[in-house]
Amino acid sequence: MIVGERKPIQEILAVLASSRRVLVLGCGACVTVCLSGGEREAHEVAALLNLRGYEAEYGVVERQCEKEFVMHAREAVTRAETVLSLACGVGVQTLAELFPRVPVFPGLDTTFMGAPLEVGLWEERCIGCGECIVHRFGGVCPVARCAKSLLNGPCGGSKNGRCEVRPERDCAWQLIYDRMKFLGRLEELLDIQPPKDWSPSRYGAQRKTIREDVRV
Amino acid sequence: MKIRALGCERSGFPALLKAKKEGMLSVGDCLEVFSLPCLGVVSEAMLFELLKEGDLLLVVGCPPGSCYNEWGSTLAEKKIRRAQNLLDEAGVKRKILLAFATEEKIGEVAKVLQDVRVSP
Repeated sequence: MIVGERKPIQEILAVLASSRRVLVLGCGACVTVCLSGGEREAHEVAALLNLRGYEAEYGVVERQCEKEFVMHAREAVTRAETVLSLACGVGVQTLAELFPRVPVFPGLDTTFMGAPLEVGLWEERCIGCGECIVHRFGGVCPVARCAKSLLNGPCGGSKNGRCEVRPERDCAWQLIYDRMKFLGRLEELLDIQPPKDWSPSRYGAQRKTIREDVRV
Repeated sequence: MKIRALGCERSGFPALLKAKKEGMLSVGDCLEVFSLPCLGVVSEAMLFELLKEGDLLLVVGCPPGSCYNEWGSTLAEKKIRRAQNLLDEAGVKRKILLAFATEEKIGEVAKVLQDVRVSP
């Protein structure tokens, strides 16, 4: 899922500036699951803004990244002077594209693609590099989970299974080693991995996926 | 000062009714007392909605350790702390106070409200 964190309230108040009628629009997908931008959080922010003297209402659409769902919020958007989106960056942009006359502000910082590990804890698992190679590493992605994104690890700083850069974290290469050992594929780690082709990653340009078979 | 109060059905609400009867809640005006099944269902949004019509919200629940639903008061304490932080961050000068009390032991309610009397 895409994980996000609500911006500090002071930052939100600063961008709303002189707007009075505000729609706080949540998203029913990823940010609902990571408890940062769903209906509950939209209600929370709207109620807080009302205590600050705004005329805030709140709503949620099933997925703010898809026009078909965002259109359900059309009436509420039209009533507002400003929209504060609690979706990820994709949702904010979809909203802004659909309603170009209404100022749309992000209420969240989109942080990473990750997984919920336990209640109240999410951890990054994927950076969307465009060429998945986790099968070579026992299902543990060194690009996302190693602080140095090493494909031929571990580095010299790994100690007691912990990362040199952030010692509170597991060393991704320790996890890879343990997993490959468990799978009986340890010898595969002796293969030298070639340099990664980063051209399909975000360092190229804006990426697009086209499926001609479903286009009309 | 306009006060609203919220208590759980098991302990907080009966404690609030008794405290009100004994005049313990006379620090403000227009006191309204609400109940809910357990403080565990409290959300920040709910607290903010209640504060719309009040300067102070007094939340009363079972003493931790003897919460009828086990974690209700503990969860409420975290939510209330977070809600108060959000209010402070937003510059909203309203307070949420939390007291743990039962109908038999309402002293904690008076104690919590004492701070309001001292620094209104």
